[in-house]
Amino acid sequence: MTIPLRNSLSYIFIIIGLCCSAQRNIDYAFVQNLIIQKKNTQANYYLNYFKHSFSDDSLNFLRGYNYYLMKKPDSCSLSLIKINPSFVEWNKTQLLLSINLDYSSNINQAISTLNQIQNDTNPIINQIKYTLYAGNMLLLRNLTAYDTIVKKFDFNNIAYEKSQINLSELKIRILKHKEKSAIVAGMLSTIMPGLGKFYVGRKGEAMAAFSTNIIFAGMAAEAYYRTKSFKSPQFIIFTTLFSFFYSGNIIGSIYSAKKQNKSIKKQINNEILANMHIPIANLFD
Amino acid sequence: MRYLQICISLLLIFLINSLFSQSDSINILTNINAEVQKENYYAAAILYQKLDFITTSSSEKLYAKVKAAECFKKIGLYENGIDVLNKINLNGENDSVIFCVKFQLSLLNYLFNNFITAEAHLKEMNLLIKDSTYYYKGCLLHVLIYNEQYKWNEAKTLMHQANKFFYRNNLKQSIVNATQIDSIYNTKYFPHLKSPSKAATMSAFFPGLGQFYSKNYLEGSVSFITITGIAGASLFGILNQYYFTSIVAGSTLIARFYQGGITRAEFLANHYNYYKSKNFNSLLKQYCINILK
Repeated sequence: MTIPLRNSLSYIFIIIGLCCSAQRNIDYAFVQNLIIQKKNTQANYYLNYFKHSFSDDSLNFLRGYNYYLMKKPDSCSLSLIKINPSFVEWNKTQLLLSINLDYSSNINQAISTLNQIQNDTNPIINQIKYTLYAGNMLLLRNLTAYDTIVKKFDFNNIAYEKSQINLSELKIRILKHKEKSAIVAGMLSTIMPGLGKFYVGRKGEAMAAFSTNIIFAGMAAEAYYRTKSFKSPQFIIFTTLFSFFYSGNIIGSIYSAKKQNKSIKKQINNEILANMHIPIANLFD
Repeated sequence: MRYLQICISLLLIFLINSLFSQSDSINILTNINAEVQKENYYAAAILYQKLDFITTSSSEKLYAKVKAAECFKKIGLYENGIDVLNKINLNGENDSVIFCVKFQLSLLNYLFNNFITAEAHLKEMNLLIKDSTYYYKGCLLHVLIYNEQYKWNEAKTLMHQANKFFYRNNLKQSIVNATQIDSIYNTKYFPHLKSPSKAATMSAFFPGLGQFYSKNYLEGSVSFITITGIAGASLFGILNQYYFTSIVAGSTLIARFYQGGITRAEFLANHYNYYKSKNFNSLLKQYCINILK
């Protein structure tokens, strides 16, 4: 029992210090637990109401991660951007910030966030960083830059392998995709009602437009056949109706072509974002 | 000597940690009291969950969960309360604990308009509890649930059973007498509910008839007049040799109005049932609450 006094005291101080830090981590662990249980609103309330219980970086990280799970990319970015580089999980945080900036359509800011990530000892983080880079280049339709980054892909881990393959397929889709011309769609609909919509790829709408126009044309023809006059009220009513539907179908085809182009672009962008997001989700799981 | 130092360190860690965790529980309880005094039940509910998270004592965990659910109930967040209570493991618990948890679960589900689950919790409670007193204590809630499910005859029977029990045991609720129950649950006051499928079939046979059956005479008349009007106009067109126009336009419009009339009749029957039973149930609810008071 002859433990030197100096040693004993230092042991006691170390132990007390450890215990204190463990107690401080209880709040962190509790909020993490709320987040795991998908009680995101409660976690958010706790983080705002009892913010004094956390260090700045922990508070911002938890807030950001919680907002990310609540699908609020803008609020998530605002929280994560405040985290200092000294934070333990800095690289992971920057990846999360980057994908949230992408979802908020701040692609250039997302790229500059990725630039701040130093080479990590964990190869998975480096590969996810390249995947996000490549995704951002596809979103900007900068295929040359994409080809340069894709050379760094190793397709070696289940966490990002599928996403890297999918991004390559999406690049091919971007190259193959040809935009539909609004003028061609309008002209085709002038020649035959519904044909413009068929060209755009909306077969159901094309059939509906064709049958409606045929019905009104038939009614107008029947009215003329019975009255033998272009001035009869029946003929005027049905011809007017037919004219409305005919011209509406032409204008509709032009709009459809524009809408279809936008929708395909949006669909490809959403798929790119989803493939960028999957590795991040795997990393934080 | 080194081993001795390690042993002492571990012992100290254990002692200090238990000391901190105890003081943490006390701190949380103090914070909860402050929040309850401020009537901030949401914060109190979260703090109760924190207490549940840090404590190792199973009785304290149970207490924290029940109190958290109570706080959520106070602010109308019934779903959150149900979520908390569902995590309680009732294996090996005594009758009073099972009653407390299951009754609260049933009540929260009732308040959340989830009547089938509310009833299931009460039935499960009756199976788990050995003491029949608890069965009758949950009776009034069961009656309220039956009322919401339009099972008034079952509610009446249950009321009588509970009343007899309370009367035998000289409990507070025995002030109700059997005649009062019979009078309030008299079949002549029961709302005559309409069958939605019958309303739909009636409208399918004769346009507007389903709406008449659902006591909506104006809509029934409008539906009948519209469909017969279109049919008449189509017939007039055919007689004037406008075959294509009359057949295409007439059949399209009639099909639309006819199908719409059937769906509408079904909806009106449900609407009628909802309001009739709501009015009747509100009377019964008031009556049950008066008994509880």
